[in-house]
Amino acid sequence: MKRITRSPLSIKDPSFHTSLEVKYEACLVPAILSWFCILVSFWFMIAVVMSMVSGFRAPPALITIFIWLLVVESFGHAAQTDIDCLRDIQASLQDPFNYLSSWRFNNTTEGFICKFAGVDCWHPDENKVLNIRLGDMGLRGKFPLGVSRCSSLTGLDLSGNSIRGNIPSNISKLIGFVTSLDLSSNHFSGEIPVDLANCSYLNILKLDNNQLRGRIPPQIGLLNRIKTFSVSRNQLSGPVPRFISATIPAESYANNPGLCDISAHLQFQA
Amino acid sequence: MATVLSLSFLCLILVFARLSPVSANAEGDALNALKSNLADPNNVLQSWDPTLVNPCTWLHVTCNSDNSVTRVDLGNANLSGQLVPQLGQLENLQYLELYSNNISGRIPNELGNLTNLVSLDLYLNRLSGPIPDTLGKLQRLRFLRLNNNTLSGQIPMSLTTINTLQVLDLSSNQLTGPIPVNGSFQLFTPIRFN
Repeated sequence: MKRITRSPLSIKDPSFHTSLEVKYEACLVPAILSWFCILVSFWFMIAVVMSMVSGFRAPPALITIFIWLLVVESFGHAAQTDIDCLRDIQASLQDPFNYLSSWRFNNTTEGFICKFAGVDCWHPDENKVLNIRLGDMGLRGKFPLGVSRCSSLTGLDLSGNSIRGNIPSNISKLIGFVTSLDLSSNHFSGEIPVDLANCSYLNILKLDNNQLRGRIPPQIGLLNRIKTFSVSRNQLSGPVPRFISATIPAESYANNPGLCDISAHLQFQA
Repeated sequence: MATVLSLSFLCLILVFARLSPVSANAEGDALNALKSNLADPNNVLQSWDPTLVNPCTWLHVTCNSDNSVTRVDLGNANLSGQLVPQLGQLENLQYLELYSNNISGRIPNELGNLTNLVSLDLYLNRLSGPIPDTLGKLQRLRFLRLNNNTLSGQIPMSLTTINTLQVLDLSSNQLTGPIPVNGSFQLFTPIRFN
């Protein structure tokens, strides 16, 4: 994000001073648009300086456009990636019941994605996604990889849909800051990826009621913020993990014929 | 002697009358104190007339059925100047929206008295000084967004006792010290603090 500070211009003064200080902080994606804006704004800056030197009034419009371009740049980056994130998610999932009909991308004002069904934003007039809640929408397809472009995402709820395929094996690269992940009641198959243990901020992890098989990676027990962990109603086998800072009740593991809790000599039969 | 006594009695009555104003008017006075401390080039506060019996007809002010202020919506209003401690007198205030302005100075400690507050949005301003630890008293707070200011000092531990917090954004400030990870802060990640 960039921050602009400027002192007031007094154009009437023949020797007016323009001081524009632009601070650039880390930008995410150097899109072509941003480079174009930088070039054009430098051109305008030179034009302003030249008009200052040659002593006539710089047209207010010129300066306005310059400032406007810088402002547009400052909102350009993170905002655009979150818009692309939601566009990708909509493209990769089938929506037979049209729950995502409010996800329209033709009229792009500041904060327009904040009004989309199932989308919570950080701030009401900034396109920065906080949570995505798409529970019980009859959605089909695979795990939407485009969610990785929502770089400030903290909550993802895809529960109660018909999403199939694997949970991505690099999930912590996609949604590493997530505190709540609910993939329950879908058709996810394959194994639980070890990389979930790198989503270190997870408080809630719900994977129940899917077709997951294999072992629960023991590293999942190292998640030190876990409050809720559920894998019931899957096809998991092997030992349950030992959580370092939570006590997971037995019903979180229920209905996994091959799962066993060695310490309690329990088996979690259907 | 009798004249002196009756005059002083009259004075006492007048003093007491002034000391117990209608509570709604006290809220109008508090908001008027804010108006007096802000520069308002866009005239968004033009309707703020302190001679009215309560501030409930003022634009950008919302009241409940008891004529007590529940919302102040002044986001993106090109305001500058400073906040006032009298804001803490709006005891039924739920939403304080002052984001995206040019407001400077400190966050008043008295904002901790707003125990009904659900949303405190002071982001995108020029506020400085510390985050008051009195904000820990806001036990119904759901949204605390103080990002993009020049706040300094440490994050008060008292904030971790607010169990209703859903969105916390303290990014883009000059805060120092450890980031709490206990209590409600277990839900929060570095993206809210950088």
